[in-house]
Amino acid sequence: MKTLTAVIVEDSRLARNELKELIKLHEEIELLGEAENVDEGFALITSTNPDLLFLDINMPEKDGFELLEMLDEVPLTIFTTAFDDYAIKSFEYNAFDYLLKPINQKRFSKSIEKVLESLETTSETSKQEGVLSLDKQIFIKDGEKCWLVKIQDIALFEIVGNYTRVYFDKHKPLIYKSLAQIEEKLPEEMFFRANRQQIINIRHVKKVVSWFNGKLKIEMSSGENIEISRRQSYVFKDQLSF
Amino acid sequence: MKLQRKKIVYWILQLLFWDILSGVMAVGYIFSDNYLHLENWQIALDFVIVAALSIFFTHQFRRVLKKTIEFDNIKVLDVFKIFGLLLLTTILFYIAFTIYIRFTYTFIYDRVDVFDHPSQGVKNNILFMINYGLYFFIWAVFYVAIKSLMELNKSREQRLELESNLKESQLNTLKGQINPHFMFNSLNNIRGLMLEDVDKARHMLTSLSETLRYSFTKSGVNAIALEDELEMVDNYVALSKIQFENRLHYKAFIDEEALYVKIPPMIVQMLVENAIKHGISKLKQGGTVEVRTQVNTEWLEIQVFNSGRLMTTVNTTQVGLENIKRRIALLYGAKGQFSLKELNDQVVATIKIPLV
Repeated sequence: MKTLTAVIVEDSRLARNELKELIKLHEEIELLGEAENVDEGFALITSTNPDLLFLDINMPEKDGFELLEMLDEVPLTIFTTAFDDYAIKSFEYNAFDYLLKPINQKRFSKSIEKVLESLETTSETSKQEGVLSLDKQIFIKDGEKCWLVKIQDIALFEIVGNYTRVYFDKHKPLIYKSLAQIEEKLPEEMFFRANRQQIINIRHVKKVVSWFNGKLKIEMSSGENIEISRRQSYVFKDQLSF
Repeated sequence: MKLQRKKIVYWILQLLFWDILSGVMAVGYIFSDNYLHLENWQIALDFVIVAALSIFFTHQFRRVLKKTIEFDNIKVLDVFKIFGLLLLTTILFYIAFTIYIRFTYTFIYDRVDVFDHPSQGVKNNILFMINYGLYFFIWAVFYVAIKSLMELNKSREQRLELESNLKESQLNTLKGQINPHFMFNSLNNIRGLMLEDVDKARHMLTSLSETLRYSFTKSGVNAIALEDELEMVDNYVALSKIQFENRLHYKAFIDEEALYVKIPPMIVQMLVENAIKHGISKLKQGGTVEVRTQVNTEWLEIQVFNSGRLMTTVNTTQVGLENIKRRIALLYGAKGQFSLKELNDQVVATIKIPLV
């Protein structure tokens, strides 16, 4: 049986115990650790890299959403909350599952099944593509809205002052990170620095046109037109001509 | 029944007013030597008819008035309408009266000579009309005044009733709202506690049911002894302690005399709840919540302290605090006070309640 690694981030000790009792009934889950606040949780997740995160929303100093924002790579997440939070409903897509405390055993098992299913499908696609990091998901929060986006679905990153605008589907939220910070963490085989302002996802390129001065112009499948700087145009041609 | 009584009063006043007027005029006529030489019964009939016609026309006038004018909201235009209607009433009354006189004096009394009597000239006829116009005017002034007063009273009553209803329902929604987060967290914690300390878990279950019972039953009550409220707070704190464990410390310093003072239910509880939710739960190391009272002959002051800082971020809705503020304002008006301040790394919530 495939094992599912998990961590708990929850400030109430008794609530953590409750969760552990439920986890005990699922042999496939391997609990890697638990944390009682966001900072401890962050350290735990970055060191253990779990498949699954059980996350409480209300915690001292920083809340569950802030933990997700801190992470470069977000594991599959199940929120545990005492009451139907408006916060959970603010999510775009049904990217997160949540369980209401006290947690119903059947509901818990169903959520775990869903997690296992989604892990299987992602590992299959990973095999086909041969690249693991494409399934990375990142958490984006812009004002009231939240998204959990797979990196491969992002078409474009663009500098807006000190922030970065992220283009995916029809959404263009801002994240509070610089483009350079983001570039470091992106898989090179998929993302390309088009110019000072923009990083594009090669898979979302629709058309490449020769522009003047040896520059290239790219039309993205979402409709945006990107001009590639001269220096990067050579790199681009070089990379694609192998 | 009330409507019936109003109707009866209206008719009594109508009959009295016009009968007395006709009677006075009849007596006046008789004392002026009966210059037309009429029989007594003819005099009586004429003045009864005058009274009847007056009543009939003013009644019609009233009917039209009721349909066209809002008595609790009379405007300048309405005054003109009233005068127009008065004029019309007077003219119609005069025509009806003239027809009556012409008919009876010609065919019944057989006294056509009266029409040529100097007292029946054009001048006197006009005077007669003006007189009756004046009577109708006086009648209308009385009628509109009484009617307006009644309507104003009625709308004032309605407004007061509405206000007290509103107050009542506001108070009811402000009182006794137990936070669902707290309830479900407590249930979850008790469930976890059962695995390690059954006695304590049972104890906590009692505390939770007492908390629930208090919020259900006391929400219908406007005042409760501070002692009872503090018992509720103890339950609340005990339940919070199984959530926060050693992150939460609680102390209460209560004056002996303050214990029996009546306060609005759930107020101290809400302050403590706020202190825990916005103070202690935000601190990794936790902190202390303290309740203190101060009482003299005029007022009771209750203060709730908690470690932490006052958050003035836009994100906090402050529903709880708004609730407390509004309740104090609704119950005590300007005499009640509520404040929330930061003092030496502590947040202090203070309420001041006047003693009755």
